[in-house]
Amino acid sequence: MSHDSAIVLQDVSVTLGGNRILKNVSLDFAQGVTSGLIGPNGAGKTTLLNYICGIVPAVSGTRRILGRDATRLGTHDMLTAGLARTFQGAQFVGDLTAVENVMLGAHLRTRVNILTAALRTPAAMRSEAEIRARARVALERIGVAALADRQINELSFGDQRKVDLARALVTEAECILLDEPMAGLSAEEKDSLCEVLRELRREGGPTIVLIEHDMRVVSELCAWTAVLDAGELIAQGPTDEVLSADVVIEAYMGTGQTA
Amino acid sequence: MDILVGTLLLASMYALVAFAWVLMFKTTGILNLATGAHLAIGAYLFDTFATRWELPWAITIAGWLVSGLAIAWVTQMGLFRRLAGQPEFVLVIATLGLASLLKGVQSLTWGTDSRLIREPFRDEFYFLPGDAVISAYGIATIGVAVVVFVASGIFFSRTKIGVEMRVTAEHAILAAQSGIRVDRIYIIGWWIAFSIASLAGILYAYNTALSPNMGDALGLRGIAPALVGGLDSIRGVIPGALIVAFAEVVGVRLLGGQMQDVTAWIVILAVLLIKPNGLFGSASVNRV
Repeated sequence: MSHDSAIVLQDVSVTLGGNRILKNVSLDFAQGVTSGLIGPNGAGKTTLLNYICGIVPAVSGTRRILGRDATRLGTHDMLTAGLARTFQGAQFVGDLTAVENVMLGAHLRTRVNILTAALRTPAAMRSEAEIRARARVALERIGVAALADRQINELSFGDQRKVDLARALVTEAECILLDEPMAGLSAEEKDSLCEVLRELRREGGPTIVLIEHDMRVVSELCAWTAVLDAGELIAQGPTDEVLSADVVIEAYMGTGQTA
Repeated sequence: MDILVGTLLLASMYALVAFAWVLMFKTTGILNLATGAHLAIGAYLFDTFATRWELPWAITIAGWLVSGLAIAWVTQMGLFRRLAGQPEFVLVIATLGLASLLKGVQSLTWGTDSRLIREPFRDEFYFLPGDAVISAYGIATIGVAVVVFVASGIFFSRTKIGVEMRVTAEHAILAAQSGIRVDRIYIIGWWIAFSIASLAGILYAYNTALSPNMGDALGLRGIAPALVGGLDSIRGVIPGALIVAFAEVVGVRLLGGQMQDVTAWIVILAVLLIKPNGLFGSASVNRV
């Protein structure tokens, strides 16, 4: 079962500030598909993502990433484990350009120390040029190549999102986690980002796990969906089945009010 | 001319101390009140290796760097790692505690006398046109400051660790997510700040004497150029140091030696009134 799973969580419980945020969540995101993670506000979706990435510790539970036990790994090990992510709201280093922010994703591959940088050795220059080129390719893939050399904090929110996604892509991680990539985007921007993600899937790109509020986006992109409510997993399965399940509708509408 | 020489010499030392303040503020986001204590401890360690044990210079420098790394490691892993996530206020108070601790260690270990450090070469004086005098150690001080700033310019803009430090400073989680070991980066930050602050202490000791209260005197003075240039601006350090040093040299010339501290703070107040974030600081500094 585990070799074609990208992420397997078992009995994960997370407590933050005395509050139980996740309660015994067991989840399995398959490799090679786009999966959705949905749920009302405060359900624990981002916390779950943060746990997967090693940012938030769990009280109990284990996680496997791409077939390997990752329970004890720290955040900085995630990329080598094959996992990249974007953040809720665009996250970036403001005093760098768009392409430099994307290069950050690939920076583990650079080999530039103070001596080679000072002497501008061919190897150091090559290493940097190569990563810059790959970052540009990633930006082009997302459709924002023209913005590469602009300062990132001058870009629109939607474009910053795309740069964030390009940063995750340039890592060549086998699995990427997207935390509400569509939030705050206009309808056209959503459509174009959906198209980019679909395209990635068609090209055999990374496994994608997506937190999303827009159900239209979820049903369009995600083959599989898991639903969290108040820290508990209340459903998982093929997206159309999950979205029409009674428990899910109840969780979103609130019990008692639909009757 | 002698005003110019005096300004350059003072500015070199101030720039180094201010750089240590700004570096810690940039990498960890806290005002490191132990900067002065670092400055003194580092200089005393150097003195122990150089003067008391009379070790060869290469070993003295290596010993000073390694002990700085050890202090940086203990500071991060033993103290600040455990305080991660605490409000900024707590972290700043922790640096104050660290400062008292280091000062205690300093006076217990090295006493309260001033002393001279073993010299690598004989000091000589050179007479410049316009009645100015500069000592060999004065020239060395200015030279060291220039080398440190050129090297750190390359380090932060072009090397992997330098870029990692900038990224960690701005966004620690994004940095960790990109595979950067944040703890290691903080240790390196403490280490570089310690080394640069204590370098200023060592140079100060060669220009005057190694004195137990130089941590307070020079360390706190170094925050003036950091504030003038902008606490989060490495670029602002040199102009800030030049302005403060010039004001002090002129202030002492016109008003006498006891005005030295006063002029520095007058400059700070003037700059803060006109540009609250310092001359080169960004508007996001709202913490101190």
